[in-house]
This record gives sequence, C-alpha cells and structure tokens, in this order.
Amino acid sequence: MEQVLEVRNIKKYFADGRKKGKNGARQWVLDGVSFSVGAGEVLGIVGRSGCGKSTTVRTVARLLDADEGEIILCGRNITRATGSALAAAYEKMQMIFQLPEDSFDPRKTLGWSIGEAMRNRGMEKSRREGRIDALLTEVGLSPSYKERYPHEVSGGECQRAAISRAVALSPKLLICDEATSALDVTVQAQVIRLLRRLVKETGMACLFITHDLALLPQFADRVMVMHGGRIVEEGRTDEIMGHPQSPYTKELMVADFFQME
Amino acid sequence: MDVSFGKRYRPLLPYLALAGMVLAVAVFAPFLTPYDPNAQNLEGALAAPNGTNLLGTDRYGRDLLSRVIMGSRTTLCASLLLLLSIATMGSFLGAVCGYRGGRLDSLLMRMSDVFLAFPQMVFAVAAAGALGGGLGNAAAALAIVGWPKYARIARGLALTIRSMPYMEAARMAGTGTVGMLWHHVLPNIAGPILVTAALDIGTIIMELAGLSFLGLGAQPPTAEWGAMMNNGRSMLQTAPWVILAPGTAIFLTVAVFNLLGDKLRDVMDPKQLRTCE
Repeated sequence: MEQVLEVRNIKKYFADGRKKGKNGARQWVLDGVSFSVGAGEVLGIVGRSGCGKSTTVRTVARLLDADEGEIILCGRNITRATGSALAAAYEKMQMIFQLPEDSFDPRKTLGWSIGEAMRNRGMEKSRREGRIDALLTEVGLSPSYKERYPHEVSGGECQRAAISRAVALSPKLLICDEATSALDVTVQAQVIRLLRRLVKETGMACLFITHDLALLPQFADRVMVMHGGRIVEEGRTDEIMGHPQSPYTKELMVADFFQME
Repeated sequence: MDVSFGKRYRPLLPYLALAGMVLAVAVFAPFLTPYDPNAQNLEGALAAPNGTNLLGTDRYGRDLLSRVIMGSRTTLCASLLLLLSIATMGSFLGAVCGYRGGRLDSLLMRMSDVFLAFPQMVFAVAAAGALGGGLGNAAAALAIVGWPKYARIARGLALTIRSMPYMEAARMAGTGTVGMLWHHVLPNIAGPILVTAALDIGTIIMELAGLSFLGLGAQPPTAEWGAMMNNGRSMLQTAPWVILAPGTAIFLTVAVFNLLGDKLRDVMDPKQLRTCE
C-alpha cells in the first residue's frame, strides 16, 4: 500500500499564560505522536474532548505549527512548508470541518467556495463551472445548489457541499475533523456512506476524527486511541473494538455504551 | 427563517430618502441657488428674512439661502470624502494588522494608541493650525486623528474571523494573503464598519464645521456652514438669522445622518438577521 502520510514524533505545546516567558511553562497537547496512513485506508482517531485529536489533524493540515517532529505527505516533508510549497501540499490534502455552515464564507455562494481552489490554480471559468456541477452531483446535490448561500441549505446539504469542495482537487489525503458530529443520525449515516464511497472510488487516504465509537466499524480500517496528547492504542478496527488492551480504551467504550443506552 | 432582503431594509427607506434629499441639494447646488452665493450687495446687508431673501442676508448683503445651499456642497463633499478616506484607510490597515499580526500589527496599533490618547478635536485643531488654514488642511488634520478608530474596529473584527473554519478552508484552498483580505476578511467586516461610518457622518460634519468656525477650515469667500456661523457670531443679538441659517442646516443634516446610522445599526444587528416564524 502506497504511504500517503507519515507523522513522526510530533510535539505541540501551548505556553501557560499564567507564567511569564514563551517557554516558561509548557503544556504539552501533543507529546510524541507518530502514525502513518496509506492510500485507500481510513484511520479513525478517537478520544475524549481535549485528548489532542483535533490538534493532531490541525497540525497535520498545517493550520497549527508543530514544535517538534516531522510531517511527511506523499514523500515530501511539509512540517515547515510555506508559500508555494504549502499551496502544493494543499493540493494533496484537504479537510472537512465539524460545523458545516461555519466552514463556508457566509457572503459567498456554495459554488464560489467550491470553486475557490480551482480558481486559485487558474482553471478557466467554463471548465470550473462544469467541475462544480459534477462535484455537486457526485455528492448527491443538484447543480443548482451552487447558487445558494450556506444559510440557505440544511446542515447535511452543507456538509455534502463541504465534501465536494474537499475533493475538488482530487486530494490524496482527506481529513475529517468531527465531520459528522453536528449532524443528526440519519444524515450522519448518509455522509458516512458518501465518504466511504469516495474513499473507495478515489483511493485517497482518510483521517477520520470522531468521539462516536459506533461510527468506526462502519468506516475506519484502523483506529488510533488518544489520551493526554499521546497515542494509547492503535490497531485494526475490529481488534480495538473487540479486544481493547488499554484500560483507557475500555473505559471509553464503556462510556460510549452507556451513552447509547 | 431568514427575513427577506426587502423586508429587512424597508425601515431604512425614509432615512435613506432624507439623506438622499440632502445629498441631492449638495449635488445640484448650483442649479438650486436663487442668487449668486458670493455676490455682494452692501445696500441690502443684514436684511432679515423676507420675500426676496428667504433666509435674509449677511453683512455683505449675500443671500443666505444661496450660501446655505452652496455650503451644503462644500461641507458634505469634504465630510464624505474625509469619511471615505479614513474609513477605507483605517479599515484596510486594521484588517491587515488583525489578519497578519506580527510586527506590523504591533507598530500600527501602538501608533493608533498614541493618536487615540489625544483628545481628538484638540489634536485636530493643533494639526490644522500647524498645517495652515484651508478646508483641505482641516480635512487632513481630522484624517490624522480619525483613522485609528476604524483601524481598531477592523482589527478586532479581523481577529475574530481569522480563526473561523471558512478562513481555514480558504487557506487550504490555496488563497494567498491578498485574496484572503479581498475575498474573505474585508467583505465580512464591512457591515459593522459601514454602520460606524454612517454614525460618524454627523460627527465629521460637526468637526469640519467646528474647524471652519475657528478659522482653520474653509476660507472666505467660500460658502461653508462653519465659516458662515463664524461670520455671524458677532451679530448674534442684532442679526441672529446670519448664524441660525447655517446652524439649522448643520443641525438638520447631522440629525438626518445620525438617524440613518442608528437605523442602519438596527437592521444590521446580527440578532435581527434571522427570526423564527
């Protein structure tokens, strides 16, 4: 399996504002996180709020800078990439955010936002419009949705539009940061089915963050459990879900079970 | 459900119509003046309002109605140009500072702190005095002290939206700094800036008129409301219409633009963007 992403020992800290000096008191939010994901593979990242899963993917997506470690995307080190190198990295890596409506500029139509990456790369208007129509159709929306504003569509439709934006440049890595958390159960299932189909058809790798363990068997090939900025357990989804080794994972599963009850 | 565009902005219409009337008077001033605003007639000096001179005449026998109408052009043009320049410059600098941060942000915001630390009008009087008389210099003096307010507001707004998911999505779409500012930051901070600017029109008219009143703005024989009030100052008891005519014009114009600003703020309040059926 072709390796798409390799994360080597990344560390991230936020300075404690109560003490003076940038490095005065380090609060590690990521403490030596390493993992990799291959083409066509879905890696689920789970853990409680504040365990560092969002920080991990935001660091991978270069929305935050890692303080230590390396991020290798399709063989290129993007840990300190800026300018055109970062723009090139974003052609290979896209993200879907938790709150679909907030991930679209409220003053732009969905079509404008979906076409933004293509426009930035100089694609001519007629080709771009055709591609936007095709992308919307692919995610189960009518091409007429490109004329709508984010507040004019439902959460599920907005997240579908967000998926179409994310796959517009045919990325190698798709990052889903709690992409289904803000949706109701039926819409959640539709979005998961859509993501599963896209991953299967395109062969892209996917990082799927969730705090809902029930979603993992449906979608993730492997699972990584995080706690306190560290990986406490990693393995195949059926192994982790069936025979968790770490006490924290067991605790997480019990909590999830009672939540479902 | 969203309130329709027309329904949402309908309460603005009466105020927009009034402001439009004031602006129309300023634009078409040369066609509306019954007499040449600068033509002197010493025989008819200080005539009280009458059938020939509806608002009376000043000490040089100039028709006050004509001068008030022509003065609207001077005052409003200068005020709107000044407002446009400080709102544009201040907002742009603030947006860049808020979005980019870093040393430029620190430098410009410390500069704005310095300007904000001075009482605005006192600083403007000092700057206008140093630059010399004239409407252009008075406007420049007010511009020097006016931009930090807009820069501060724009910076705060830009800081708020900088970390919004749609900004991160746009960055991941490969949009550069200029594109981010042009397509995402400025359009999303424009609403509150526009409301602030609308509320400031009245203040700027007053400040420009104030500088002219002190002799630091428009110079004779230019018809300008503040300067006209200064001319009538010594005759307040003997010929009050000389000062009342431009004074009333300032009062009405400022009232119209303040009301427009207030209403604009009301309709653009985010709490009114949506309402339940």
